[in-house]
Amino acid sequence: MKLAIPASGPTLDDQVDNRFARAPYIILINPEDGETSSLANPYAQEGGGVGPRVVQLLVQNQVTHLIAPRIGGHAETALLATGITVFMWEGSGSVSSAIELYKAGKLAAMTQTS
Amino acid sequence: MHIVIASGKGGTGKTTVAVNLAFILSTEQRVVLADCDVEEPNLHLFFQSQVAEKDVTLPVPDIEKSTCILCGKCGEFCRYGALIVLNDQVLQYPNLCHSCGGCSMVCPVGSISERPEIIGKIQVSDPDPSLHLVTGVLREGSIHSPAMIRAVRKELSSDDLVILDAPPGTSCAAMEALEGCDLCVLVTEPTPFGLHDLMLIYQVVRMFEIPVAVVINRNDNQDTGVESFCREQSIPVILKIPFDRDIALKQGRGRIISRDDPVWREPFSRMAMESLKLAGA
Amino acid sequence: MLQVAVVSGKGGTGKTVVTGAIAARFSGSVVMADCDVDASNLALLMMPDIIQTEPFYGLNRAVIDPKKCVLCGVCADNCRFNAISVSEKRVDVNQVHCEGCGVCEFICLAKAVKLVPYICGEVRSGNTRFGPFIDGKLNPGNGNSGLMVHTIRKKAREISPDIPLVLIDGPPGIGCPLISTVTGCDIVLLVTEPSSSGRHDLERLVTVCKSMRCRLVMVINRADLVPDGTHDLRVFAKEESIPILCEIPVDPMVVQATRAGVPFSLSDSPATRMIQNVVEFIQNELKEE
Ligand code: SF4
Ligand code: SF4
Ligand code: SF4
Ligand code: SF4
Repeated sequence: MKLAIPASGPTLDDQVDNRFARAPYIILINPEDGETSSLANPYAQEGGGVGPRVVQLLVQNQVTHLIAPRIGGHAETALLATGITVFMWEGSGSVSSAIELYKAGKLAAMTQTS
Repeated sequence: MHIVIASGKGGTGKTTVAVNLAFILSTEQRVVLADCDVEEPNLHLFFQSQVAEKDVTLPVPDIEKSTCILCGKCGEFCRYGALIVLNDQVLQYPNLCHSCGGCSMVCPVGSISERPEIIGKIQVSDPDPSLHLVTGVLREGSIHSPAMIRAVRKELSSDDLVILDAPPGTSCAAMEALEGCDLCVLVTEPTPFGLHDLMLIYQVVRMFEIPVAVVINRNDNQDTGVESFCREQSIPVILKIPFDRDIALKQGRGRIISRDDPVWREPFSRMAMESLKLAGA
Repeated sequence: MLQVAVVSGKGGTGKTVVTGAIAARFSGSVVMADCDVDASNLALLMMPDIIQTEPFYGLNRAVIDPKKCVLCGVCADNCRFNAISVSEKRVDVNQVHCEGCGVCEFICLAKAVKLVPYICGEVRSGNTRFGPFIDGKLNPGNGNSGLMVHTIRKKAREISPDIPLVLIDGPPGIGCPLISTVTGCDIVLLVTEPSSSGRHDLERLVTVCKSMRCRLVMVINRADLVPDGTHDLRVFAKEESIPILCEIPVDPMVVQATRAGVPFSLSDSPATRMIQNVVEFIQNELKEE
């Protein structure tokens, strides 16, 4: 599996960014072996329609799980179509703290209806 | 001859001016009134009558699933996120599409053709034998105000006397309504905010090299800024509408003050004559 | 940090004047952010000293390299926005009409076209006598105000993180810029006016704010102008469970102060006494933070 987290910087110590599609970085983690990498978000500063394009980017990078804050309508339908499991992120904290919460099973998965 | 009524921002009384100007002119000759404020058209509230409608469309991609090889090229090309390629499908967002036609060009197997997508409708009516009303109504949630305004303007002949009501502000949509007109009447208020917004839109109108006139609404004769700006720039002020509860009330109830209130007929008539002259009639 | 957005649906309700009046009463503990980027007027009231101006980039624009271009005209034929004109000597891209779609870049065999970031406005920050101030301005004919709003709000949060209140003058309408403005705000203050024309806009605005899970409160401005209209607004607010913090009467003082470029709440008048209710409401919220 591969977990994606939008972040304000390229490392695990950076904050989870409170916007999904315009976060400057996306951190990719394999929680099983702990391998991480980061992706500069090419759409962070672009005009419209960035939500779907970031979802496309996740698919191209074989992402299966995502921790994200409030997600725009277009990105949401795109995520549903991909089958990526989305975990809601509220509040603030670093990427590593988000991973801890995820591992502890403390993040709620977003369902089709919400 | 096309006369456009515009303002630097909403709520200045642009509608009042468009409605009364069109009404007064229509007592003398045939007038076409075009509502280009397509996100919030409201001229029809003042001129109610039977309307005929037609849809306005833009081409959006239509993907043939059976031949698509999911190569990803169209999704990479589209700058607007209007289509994205996932593992098992191409997902489309027609309301984000700008109809640039690029995706069908890049598809290596010719799976993309185009189909019309409705972005809004045009309503036409004849509330009076000498007044023809054309209204553009953008579909809720559509981003295509400029295309919608282009569609409204296609309905207008350059031989007619046309009054256009432009969307407020200096957006791309407002520019679509301004371009190529013979006169632009800017409606403003005599406050520092009014002046600031007036200066912004004046810049744009200047860019198009259109003659300009100003109407001051909610006037209380205490203004310093707007009138001196107009003097400096040699912009004629063709009407001042006082701040008046009675006007606000009537206007809010869909009444045409130059028709229903004899006091108002004369000033609007003078403004109408002045406008025609400035537009080069 | 408490984020309060002042919005109005339709324009012309006095939203900016109300924002300024509130800000003046939180002198020293407020950051002001003008997110009405198509008509940024708050600066006219708050008179900031601008310290920094940064360019703001929007959609890309096509640029043609005359050294590579062979004047074949294929790009112009394929541009659906009529943005390219070809003459015998040169090819020009109209920067207003170009939407940065990239078709010309794709179609040009001479590889003469490049899409480059295009400056479509600026974001400014500075100080007023009441506190830090941020605003932005889009050049005429440019969209993308949603992204600009996001940029301004981010700056407002970062400029003085110790200041407890961020007060936002929001954009009209219910489009992308409005949504970017109210997203994540603690309180949305609706400034309404009792004329019938704004009613439909107000209903749509409330629907949008509620769907964003915003907490709504209302102010009725020029409340004595159209009495039945004010009554309707009260009924509407009740149905929607939106508390009305105050009803501001038509007050010559407001017009005078605005004209002089000062927030009206700096001197005593009926309108100022009304604004006091909003001030107290926000003070309570700040205490609870
Ligand atoms: S026509 Fe242009 S904007 Fe529309 S989907 Fe295709 S590439 Fe995107
Ligand atoms: S470019 Fe054509 S083949 Fe490739 S994914 Fe798009 S539609 Fe399918
Ligand atoms: S397609 Fe390329 S070479 Fe031809 S006119 Fe356009 S820019 Fe020049
Ligand atoms: S980028 Fe698109 S809109 Fe701009 S000039 Fe090229 S084809 Fe036209």
